[in-house]
Formats: sequence, C-alpha cells, structure tokens
Amino acid sequence: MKRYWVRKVSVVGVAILGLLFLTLPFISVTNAATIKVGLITDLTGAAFVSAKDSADGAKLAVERMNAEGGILGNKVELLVRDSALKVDLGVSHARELILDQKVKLIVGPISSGVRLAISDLCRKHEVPLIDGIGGSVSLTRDRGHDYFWQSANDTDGESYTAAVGCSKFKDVKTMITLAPDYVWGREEVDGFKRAFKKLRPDVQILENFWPKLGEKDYTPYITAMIAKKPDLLYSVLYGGDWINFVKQATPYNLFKKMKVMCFAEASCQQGLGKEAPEGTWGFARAPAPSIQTPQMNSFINAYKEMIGKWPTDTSVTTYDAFMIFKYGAEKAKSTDGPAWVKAMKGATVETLRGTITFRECDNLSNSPEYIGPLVYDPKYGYVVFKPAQAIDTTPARLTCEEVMELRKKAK
Amino acid sequence: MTFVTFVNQFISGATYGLVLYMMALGLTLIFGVMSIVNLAHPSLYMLGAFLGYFIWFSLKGYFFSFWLSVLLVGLVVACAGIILELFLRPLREHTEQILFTYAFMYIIADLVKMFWGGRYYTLPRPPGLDGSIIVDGITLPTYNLFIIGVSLLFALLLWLLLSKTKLGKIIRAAVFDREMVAMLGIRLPWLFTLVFGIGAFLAGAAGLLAAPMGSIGVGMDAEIMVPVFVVCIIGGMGSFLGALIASLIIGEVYAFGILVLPQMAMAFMFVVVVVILIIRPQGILGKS
Repeated sequence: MKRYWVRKVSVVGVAILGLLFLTLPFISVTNAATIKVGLITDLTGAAFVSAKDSADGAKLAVERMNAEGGILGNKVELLVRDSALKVDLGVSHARELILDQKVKLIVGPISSGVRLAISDLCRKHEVPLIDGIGGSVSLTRDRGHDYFWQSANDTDGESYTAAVGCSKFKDVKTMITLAPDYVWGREEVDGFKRAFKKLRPDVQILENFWPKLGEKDYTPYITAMIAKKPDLLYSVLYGGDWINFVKQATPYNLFKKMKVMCFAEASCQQGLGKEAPEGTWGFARAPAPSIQTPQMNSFINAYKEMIGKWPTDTSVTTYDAFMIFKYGAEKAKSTDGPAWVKAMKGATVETLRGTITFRECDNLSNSPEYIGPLVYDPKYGYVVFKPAQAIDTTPARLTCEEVMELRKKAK
Repeated sequence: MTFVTFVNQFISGATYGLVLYMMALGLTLIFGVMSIVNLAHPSLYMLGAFLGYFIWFSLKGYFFSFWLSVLLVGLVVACAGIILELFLRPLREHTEQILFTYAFMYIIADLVKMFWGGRYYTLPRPPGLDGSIIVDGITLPTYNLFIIGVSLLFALLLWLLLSKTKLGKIIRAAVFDREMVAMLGIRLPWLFTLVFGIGAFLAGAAGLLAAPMGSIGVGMDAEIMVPVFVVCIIGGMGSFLGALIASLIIGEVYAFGILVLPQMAMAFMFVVVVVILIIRPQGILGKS
C-alpha cells in the first residue's frame, strides 16, 4: 500500500514538474511585452516575386532588431498578410492587424491601389503606414496624411531621375516611351515627359507604347518600335515583363538600333542573368550591389546567408521601412502612433541607402534614386550599375504649399 | 507605312496569334470532347515551364536535350492532368467543375511557389534557333518561326488523330452521343482520361516551348488566362480551326493597332472580340 502511494506521489510530482518546465518559457514571454508589426504584401498573383523579396527584407529586419534587443527592450513580432493585389482583402487584413493584433506599424503593400485603401484605415486608427516600395504620387499629395510615410521614391522622383539620365545623351534627337498600361506606368511616363521637356526641349517624343501589364508577347510592339527609328527608348517595364521584352527584342537587334534607359530593378536583372543587354542604362530605387556603404555590404551578406539569394531593391526598401520605425520609436520612447508621428516629423534617419530626411509637411523622404550603365558582374551573376550615381530627386517635388492646396481641394 | 514595315508587322501579328493558339490547343481539345472548362489549363502551362527549366538543365549536354525535355515535360504534366481528371470525374455540373479546376489552379500555384518561387527563371533559345534571318530588311527570329511551325504541326497532328484514326473516330462519336459509344462497350471514363491527358500534355509542352521567348515565374498562368480563353471563345469552344482563325485575327488586329494607334491597340482587339460575339455568339466556327 505504502509503495503504491509513493509511486502515485512521484508520478504526480514528475507531472507537475514537467508542466512547470513546459509552461515556464511561455510565462516569461507573456511577461515581456511584444511589439507587433505588420507587413501587408501581394504574395498571390503577378506581384509574387516582389512581394516575396519584400517579406524577406522584413524578416531580416525583424531578426536583426530582436538580435539587438528589440524595440525599447521589447521583442518584435512580424505578422505577414497576403493582400493578393485585391483592395478588399488588403483592407480586411489591415483591419485585422490593427483591431485584433494591435500592430504598431504597417508596411506595404506592392499595389498602390491597395495601399491607398489601407492608408485611410491607418489614418483613422492612428497607426503609421510606411510605404517602402514607392508608388503613386496620390499617396503623398491629395490623399496624404500624418500617418502615411514615404521612405522610397514616388513616381515623380523616379521619372525625374530617368529624365536626368536621358538628358545626358547629347546626340539623341528622337525617342519613344514604353510603359505598362496602368496607373503607375502612366504616372511614370507623365512625370518623365514633364521633367524631360524642361531638360531637353530639343528631343521629339515620337510615340508612347502601352502594353498591358503581364504581356506575354511583345513582338508586335518591337517591330512597331523599330519602325519608328528612334534614337532612344525609355522603358518602365519591370519584372517578368522586362524579361519577356528583352528576350523577344534581342533577336531583332533592338538594343543595337537605339539607346535604352530602362527601369532596372534587381529581380528582373537576376532573372535575365547573362542575357541582359549590356550597354543599356538603368534607373532604380536601391541597386544593392552598387551602393557602397558598410551597412549595405553587411546587409547584402546577411540577406544572402539567410534567404539564399541576392537582395533586390524591394528587399532593401522594405528593410529600411522597418528600421525607420525602430528609429522613430526609440526617438519617441514610445510605439504609440501619435507619439511616433510627432517624433518623426522632419526627422533625419540613417538607412542602407544613406541618410534620408522626411519633409515635415507631407512625410515624403528625400530618398535618392540611382542611374548608371548596366554591366555584367560575375560575382552576382547579373548586370549591376557600374558605377551608380545617386540623383537628388527633390527638384521633382511639389512645394508644401502646393501639396496642402491639393489636399484642401480633395476634401 | 513601307512594305518592309507592313510585312514585319504582319509576321509579328502571326507570331503573337500562333503562340496564343499553341497555348489554347489543349483547352480547346478538352472542351470540345468533354465539355469541361478547365480553368487550371494555364496552371498546367506554368507547371510545364518550371519543370522544363529543371529537366532541360539536368539533361544539358545530351543530344537533342531540348526536344527530349519537351517530351518528358509533356508526359509529366499529362500525368498531373490525369490526376486532375480523376478528381473531376464525379463532378457532373459545370459550376462544380469550374470551381474545382479553379481551386486546382491555386493548388498548383502554391506548389510551384513552394518548390521554385521567389525569383524569375529564363531559358536560352535552343542551339540552332537562337539567331535571326534577314530577308530584304525583314527580320525573322528563327525561334519565332519555329514556334509558328510547331503550333501548326500540333494542330495538324491533332486533326489527324481525330479524323484519321480509330481512336479519333471513337472520341468524335463520344462527343456526338456518349450513351451510344458506351453501349458499344467502350469505356468512356478511360477515353476521357486519355483526352484530358493529351490536353495537359499540350499545355505542358507549350509551357516549355514558349519559355525561351520570355520569363518563367509565378503569375505566368494568370498572364495567359484571358487571351487564351478569348481565343477559344471567339473561335468557338472546341473548334481547332475556329481557334486558329481567331488567334490570327487577334494577332493581326493587335499588331496593326500597335503600329497605327498604340494607346488603343488593346481596345481594337476587344472591339473585334465584341463584334464577333454579337454577330456569332457561338464563336466563328462554334456550333449553336
């Protein structure tokens, strides 16, 4: 009988100890506050490759933050949601992240349309939304507000850079443009034409070509473009579209028949590898291998080790967006939206791309945009900017008064 | 417009149309015989491109490795198509079939993401087909000519299969009267599985054949979804010749639209689609 009780007590004792052992880590975690941050991105559909790069950049940012003690001594938890390029889905995820998960920050998504809708929700609930992708000017102009922050270039800054690059081709007299037929593509070309007309009024734009986003076969465009006999092509095709275009244009010797200035984000250059036409010029938001800073070199190596591939522009700008939030929270000594916004107004922040400053009136950063000739680099296995020149995009901005006037009209 | 520009643009239009036709062939076959609108067809095409990339690179160095890859990819994707058909078999309603193939589309997309996602892949043109022929100022990329030839060859082989063989006669009889064919002792389910397998084979082979002309990446299925269905619908669902005529009309209208008024090229194409559907709602060679 005694032996029976000894055995029973031992079993119960071991069980209690086991339970304590299992629950202790959770008890300690719940005692320490966790700061939740959200990334809404378009992992389903045509934007998957950029969205995945964005998610990988966010993952590395949060891992590095936690390795350095988190934000204000609290662990950071990343919540990733897939908006699948759909406005309703993006809004529903934003609502869930803000109201149920109580996130302190939202970054993303790829689609400017989805971002616009989420932006209104963030304003209502006083949660900062940092756009680390770069996109439509509406987000910082008529639809802008205190809780929307632009840490990469908008379409005006980007197209201004391309115009500056194109203006350097002194022997060019005629040109054509090529852009995907949706809001972003249209804004890029409009911005380019505005800036280029001032820089080079002597150049005639012969035609604007508008293939649909996701066009599979550019052959009819290529032959029509060659038939125009322009001196220069300005292209803002990206991702799989640019790869398709290059592969189909090469047998027609298009790249030997005209100068080319293209949107040269890394994911499509990585896809093209050695097949990318050398000698063309590119412009991009964050060409990682060509930005020579110790922070960038350390980021590139850490990213390659963690993800298994080289980072793209989107990986860099998303990483920066999360680090900007950390900087603001530490400056404000708080992660609450109003305090964070107050601390960040007009702030100057160190990023992988160097130091950037947010303009106080509209939270638009003076992020540089890069141009340069594209040259194959065997280390990376794709064409990179050699050398990259950072262009100051601030001349492309509207003045604060003009922005406020637009916002007043929009109300 | 000079003569050279006209011919260049005409050939561009034909290439555009016939690449679409190659992608649409399997879909037309499956609908024509089984009356199944297979929304997963573009996914099988994408699967073919991804599998093709890895199979071709694994076989590199062997003689005719590209052609062997096309065959192997076609067979693997045909197996995937057969699995899809086995699941589809109990579903008799069109809405059920559409929903099921739609779900399958997402399953394939997620599998592709899991195994290969996160970057774009590109295939070089196969040796011997990587140059161009220039005739009187008209540039003709050899791979484009090859694709035109392959599309027409596939169409011819399918026509021969359906018109000149015993199997083709059985398939055509099954389209006309399923019950009668079943009463003659022919196992219809296996016949349909075979047809679905051939359709999937064509989708997979088209995926690899079209890959050297562009990129391989997640989302390439969605890119071809609309144009491929447009070709099938305005050609008349199930009609090979109708799909061929439709693809050529679309290709040429699009090509000359780009030359004349680029900002309206897409609109021109869909105006033609609307006009055809108003005049012949069943499609150019479709049966009402």
